[in-house]
Amino acid sequence: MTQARPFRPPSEQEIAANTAGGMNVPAEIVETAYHEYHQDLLAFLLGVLRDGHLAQDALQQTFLKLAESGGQARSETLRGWLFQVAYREAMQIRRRQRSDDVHRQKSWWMAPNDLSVDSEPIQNLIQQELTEKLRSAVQDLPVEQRQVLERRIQGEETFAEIAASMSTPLGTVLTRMRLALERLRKRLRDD
Amino acid sequence: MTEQNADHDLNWLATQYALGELSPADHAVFEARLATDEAACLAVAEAVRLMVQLRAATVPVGAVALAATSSTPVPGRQLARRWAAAWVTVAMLTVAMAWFAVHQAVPPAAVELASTDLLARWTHAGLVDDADAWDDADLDGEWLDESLSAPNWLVQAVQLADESKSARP
Repeated sequence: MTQARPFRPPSEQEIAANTAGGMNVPAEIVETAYHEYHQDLLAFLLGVLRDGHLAQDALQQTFLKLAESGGQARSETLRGWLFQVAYREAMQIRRRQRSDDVHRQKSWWMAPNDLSVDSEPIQNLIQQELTEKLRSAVQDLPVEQRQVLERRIQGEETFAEIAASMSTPLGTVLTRMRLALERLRKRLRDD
Repeated sequence: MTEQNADHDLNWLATQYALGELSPADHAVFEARLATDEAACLAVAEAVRLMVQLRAATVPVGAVALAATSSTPVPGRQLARRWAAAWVTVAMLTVAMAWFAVHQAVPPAAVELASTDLLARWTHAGLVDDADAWDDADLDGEWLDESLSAPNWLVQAVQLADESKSARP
């Protein structure tokens, strides 16, 4: 695993040093795009790579690519273009890591130890106001939905393990989790 | 299928992908979709953000279980055990406080009173109050010596207090 870079857009020097074809997009445009989209891209990369350091590496590479060849992307499709680049970077990193069985890896944010190591990207995704709203919304969930949600989010148990320990069919546990998430999303939208 | 249902399906698929809950085959299919489907990429990003927020918003399972346990009625035997534990804690605190008192600069007379009184209480609590239990217990000498007799440091403290008293004019 490579050392995580600081959580910021690439500087002009970094762009110049890392882009073979020179810089085709002004640095201020790269920086603006970074501030606009980096949270979506980071969260996406965390979902694909399940590693905070690797996700940050892929994020940096994505914006270096934007500086190098982002002139091809139109502003209205820039986010889609960035997602495609981020995806390719993630796949390249995964091939280098040879972690083909990534679907079997536990989500990195579920492991408390990893949280301390990668606290910076995690902290960038957490919004305090949203946390308070969610806390209240979770308390309002039906108890059986809340139970499954909390065990899956906090306990590092798979749905199958939760179903087995609750002597409940797996389908029921999945339905409870799905309904809980839909309720929470709706509550956040309505608030 | 309505647009809303399609959104719900995509959100749920993305959540399962982010949580690593898809089968290897479904995982591969969904991941291939991410290469070209911006909505699917956004759904993964949204799922990860929601999970991270939820983790910050929900209390750990252990704390929930503890809270739930403490709010349920406690059977009599369990209650008795808790009282016993509380008494043991109080007794240990008393011993610790007395030990500090003995080892700090307090008047010899106070040391003598405190330590003698403590020794008497210790012996009384250990040997007299539990006399009924002793009748039922299958005791051996080693257990008796180690767990119910006064500790050496306490005996020495009392002896020191006695010596200092006898040395005084």
